[in-house]
Amino acid sequence: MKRRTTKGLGLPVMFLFLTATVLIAQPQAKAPGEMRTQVAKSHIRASPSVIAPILATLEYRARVFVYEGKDGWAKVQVPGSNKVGYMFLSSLAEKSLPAAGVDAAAPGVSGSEVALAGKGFIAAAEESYKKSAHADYSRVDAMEAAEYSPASLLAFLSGAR
Amino acid sequence: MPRSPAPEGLSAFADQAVIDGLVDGQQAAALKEAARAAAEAAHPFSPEEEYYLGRAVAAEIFSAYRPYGRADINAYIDRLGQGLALFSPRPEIFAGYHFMVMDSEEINAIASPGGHILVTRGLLRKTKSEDELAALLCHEIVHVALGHGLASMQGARLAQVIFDYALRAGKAGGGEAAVFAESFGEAISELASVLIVSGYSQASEFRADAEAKRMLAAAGYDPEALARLIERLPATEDAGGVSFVTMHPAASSRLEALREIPLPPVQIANVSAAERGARFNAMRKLF
Repeated sequence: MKRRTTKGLGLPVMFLFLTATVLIAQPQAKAPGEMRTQVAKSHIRASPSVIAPILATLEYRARVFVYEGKDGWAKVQVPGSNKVGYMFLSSLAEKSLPAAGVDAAAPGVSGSEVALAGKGFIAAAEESYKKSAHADYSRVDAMEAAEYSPASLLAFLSGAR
Repeated sequence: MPRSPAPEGLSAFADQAVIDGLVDGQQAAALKEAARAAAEAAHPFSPEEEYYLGRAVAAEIFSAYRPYGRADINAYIDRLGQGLALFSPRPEIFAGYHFMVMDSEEINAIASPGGHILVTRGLLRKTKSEDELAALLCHEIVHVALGHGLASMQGARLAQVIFDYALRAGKAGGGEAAVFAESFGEAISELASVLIVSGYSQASEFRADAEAKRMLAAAGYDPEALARLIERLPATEDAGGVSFVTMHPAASSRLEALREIPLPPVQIANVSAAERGARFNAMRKLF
């Protein structure tokens, strides 16, 4: 049977996508090493406390050097400085995909395919789904509009005027 | 909300992909296996994937409920909820936690895996203090933080969603996804139904209660507020047909389980119980 080639990046990336889905969402205590953020926005705080001042804000897949992880907190180096700060361990993921999984499933996967697997792929899938299912995302988008800094959220929560 | 017809198994699904010439037999077999393995893994989705799947679910849920149009109530619930989420087991999820009120008499709260948490006016009216409102929001936040929504999908169904999602993602921009769009839509519809109608496993409910109580204590709220709310919820179906209570374990077992939870110290500073009380009383008139 003739196989139509899929458009886009092809089958190797699908294997990669599936392998990527087994990324550890909440890592346990870590040995020193580099990790990447796995959320769109994460904060580095001055101490391992929710109410500690924010030292830096990181974007998606930012690289972070982790000294150690303990009790849900990662002690990290603030990028671009020699200061130390603390992040939620659950916001971090392994920097690279599990090598064994990738090799077994998809021989010949290139570095650019690895990079592309993490970017835009899922947003593109949503575009495709929106069209085919005639799904209305306008209210979902409206829900996501309001964003508040941790400091302002804590002030509101405490009842400060 | 009408349930879509039960989908064919993952095998039939993959076989159709072969028939349509989208993959060959070997690739279909490999993808099936990978999807099954991923579905069985403790965390089959990354936060980003969870978010996009959650958005699809939230869009589906919105087709069943009408949002409550008052900006002041929504802003109050949203700010309160986002602040409480800082004390959850997973304070940062891909695009954050977001809250909205649904204009419905049903007593219901629904949390999509992507962090979209919807609460009905019917349920808000059951709360008598900001502590109890916080208790209900914390309970829903924990369902998202611990990934209970995705876990409540059956394993085979989840594998099918992953397979379909990967296939679709692999054809991004190719326009050949239409063949699978219907089944993916069915999977989303089914997950939305599960979340609206039957909720989570009993173990997940007990866990959500325990973590919510800890969150309340850490945020300087009365940790007994959750127990009070549980006791007050009706034991029988209320107006609107879907009862918050029928989705949960019996109140007596929940209260029993809550008694033994060790609590963290208060982590937040400068709590003004008076201000919390005043603003809740102003808002509750609009519930």
